[in-house]
Amino acid sequence: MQTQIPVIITFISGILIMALFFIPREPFTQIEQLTTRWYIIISGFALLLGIDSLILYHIRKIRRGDKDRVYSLILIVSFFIALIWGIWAWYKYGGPFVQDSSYLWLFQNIYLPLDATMFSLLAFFIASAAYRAFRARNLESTLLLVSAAIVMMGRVPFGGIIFIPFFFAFSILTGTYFLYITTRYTGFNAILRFVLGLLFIFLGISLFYPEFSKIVSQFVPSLSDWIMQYPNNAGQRAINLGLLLGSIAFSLRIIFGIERGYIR
Amino acid sequence: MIWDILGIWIAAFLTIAILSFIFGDNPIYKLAEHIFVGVSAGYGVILALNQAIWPSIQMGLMPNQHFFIKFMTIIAIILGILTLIRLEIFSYILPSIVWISRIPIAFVVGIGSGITIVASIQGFIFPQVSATFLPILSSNYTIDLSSPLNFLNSFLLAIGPIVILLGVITALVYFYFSTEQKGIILGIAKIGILIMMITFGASFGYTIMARFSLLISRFYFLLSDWLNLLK
Amino acid sequence: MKAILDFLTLIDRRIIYSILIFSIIIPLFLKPSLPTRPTQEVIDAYNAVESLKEGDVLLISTDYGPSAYPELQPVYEVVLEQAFKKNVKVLLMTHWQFQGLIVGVSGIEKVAKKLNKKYGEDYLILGFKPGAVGVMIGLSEDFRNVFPNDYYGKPIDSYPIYKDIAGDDNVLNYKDIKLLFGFEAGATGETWVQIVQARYGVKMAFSVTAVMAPGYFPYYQAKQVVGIVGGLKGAFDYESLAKKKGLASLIMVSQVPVHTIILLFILLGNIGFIIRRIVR
Repeated sequence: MQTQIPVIITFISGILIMALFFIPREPFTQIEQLTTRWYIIISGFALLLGIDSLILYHIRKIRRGDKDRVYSLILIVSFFIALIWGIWAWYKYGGPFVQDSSYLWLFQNIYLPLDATMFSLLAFFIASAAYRAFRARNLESTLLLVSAAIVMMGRVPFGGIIFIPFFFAFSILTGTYFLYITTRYTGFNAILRFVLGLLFIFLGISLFYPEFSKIVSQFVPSLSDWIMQYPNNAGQRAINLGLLLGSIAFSLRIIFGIERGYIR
Repeated sequence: MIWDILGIWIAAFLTIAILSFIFGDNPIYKLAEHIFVGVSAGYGVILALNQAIWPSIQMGLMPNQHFFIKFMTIIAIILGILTLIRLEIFSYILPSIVWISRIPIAFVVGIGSGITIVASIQGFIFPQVSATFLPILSSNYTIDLSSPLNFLNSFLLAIGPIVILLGVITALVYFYFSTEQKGIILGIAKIGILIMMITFGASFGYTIMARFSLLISRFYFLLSDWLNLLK
Repeated sequence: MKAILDFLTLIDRRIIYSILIFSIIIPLFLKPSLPTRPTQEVIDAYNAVESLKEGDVLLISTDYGPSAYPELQPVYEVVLEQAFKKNVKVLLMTHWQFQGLIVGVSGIEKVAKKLNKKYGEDYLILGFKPGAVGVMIGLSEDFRNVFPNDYYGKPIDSYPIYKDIAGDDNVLNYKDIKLLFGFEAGATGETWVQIVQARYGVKMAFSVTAVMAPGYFPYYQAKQVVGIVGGLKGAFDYESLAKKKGLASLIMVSQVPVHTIILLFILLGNIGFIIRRIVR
């Protein structure tokens, strides 16, 4: 009984809201706006639940006498300072974010530096991870590498010119690799590797011709823009469409009661 | 005035505290990290209340609003209050009424699922699919032969829309795991993977650019606004 | 041999971090000049502002927040300098609530102070009003319907600038605006084009973040938008056109060695990897 009522409610409300989308009468024409606002109000209360969970977790840490309980105390104190200051500024200035509000000081000098620095901290780790993990193992990973290099270099001044020595090193390296492993194959595979090897070495050496180098260095920025606008766009769209189709399937399962994880 | 200077010093201290993490976890970093979580939570509540929740309630209950909208707004508030039964306090005081909170959750989940289905199809899938197909008809297919560079550029622009169309289709085929991938499906999926690899590489390049430019402006803040070393 | 391979592939990460930090800090001190070749859409945007004459009205909409600061604020400050040096009147508004006001107001006050421009005579801050599309349509009739008071709470027609720019009919609307320059971190700019440019023919140019730039290009190609400044590179190009060494130039100057060093490390790792493969 206690599990069946919520499932029935889910079904009815889901079907109802989908039907409401298709009624062309007032007020249902604004149904999207209405449901968005509806959702914002309810999620506001859900936010309280989340905060409650966070605060209680850290209070429990302090009570248990954990090693890091000082930091939990600092977290709770910071939370209440940010909250009470905001409410006080709302009361005193008519809104926490209006022009003279002192709350903007908190936003600009505490929240913004922390947020921006946290975000940019990842830059170091991405660079270090790339150094360790980006290996040209097969066609796929080589394509990833080349695409990353072109996009990185295409977006900075002089990028095309700096790209040339890297291109040279890359093609000589790949060419040498293909030539060496020709001996490990027979027949058609060997010929293929041999030809590829010669091709890459030829590509590398032809970079010494100034005309060819000039074309490559001028082509890199437009190639990088093209990669961002076309293939990258295609991949992003495929990912988004896949995610959406998945969430539609999941939503259908929820409405028809196959998924019941939300009742706990 | 003194508030400004104090603000810059606090911002500089917090910036350096977070940056110190690259050389290993340390107490200063933990301090800044916990301050960040606390302040973000508090700021997030104020932001949500001030910019989203309170205006939504106000707009829903405006004097000349349609009755249905006012009714739904009040229902939303009641449901919201009922979800508060899930607060941990209640599980100690009155455990027997906790099950009531399942009802508003069921409502919210049902309505959310319904919205997801309709809004996704209407608002996202249709526009995205049409944006993938339509440019093929309207795009400029002339190839400029005046110089090698112009040739390359115009060639890329010409094949662009087809690359998008084929890229989206092949990548979606790669994601289809409901049947076993073999034969021609496997071939198409392999092309899909190559497109995905280009996407990942481009995303990597772009992420490096975005994060490092933010990092550089953090260093600029430290050297210029705080220490006044750059003139 | 093994030592060389290990050196190439197993460099300690703290060495990498230190090298990266130095490559960021040193260019900030040296401030070298980097030449660049601005793309056509940036040149067109720059010329659109340069072609304004004394007494023309420039409407600026700062629809971004501090997260897009490095990409958009440099262009914003250069546009303000261009306008103020030509004695163009500037109006500032935003669709991005308090975030747009934070960046917009701090920028305009900084440049106005540097160039000795007076509030109420040379520039006016209209502020923020909610309801993007409604605001844009309301401004086509009368600015006072949307912004009866300015950012500081005084009626906008009480300032000397109002009489200068409102024209003979004493009503300020799109007919009096020579150019709209939008600074966009989201899709608000597209709304500007679709509603205001399409219906009222206002000339507009945009400075947008790199991630939003591809969405605005079709409008530039269709000549609905006279110029686009996209991303950090666009900001850098714009500053070089104005011969100014602002924030974008500084960030770019550090970005070049950083990108090069990251690629170099990746290359070293791959050299070690491929040599190991050949040897085995």
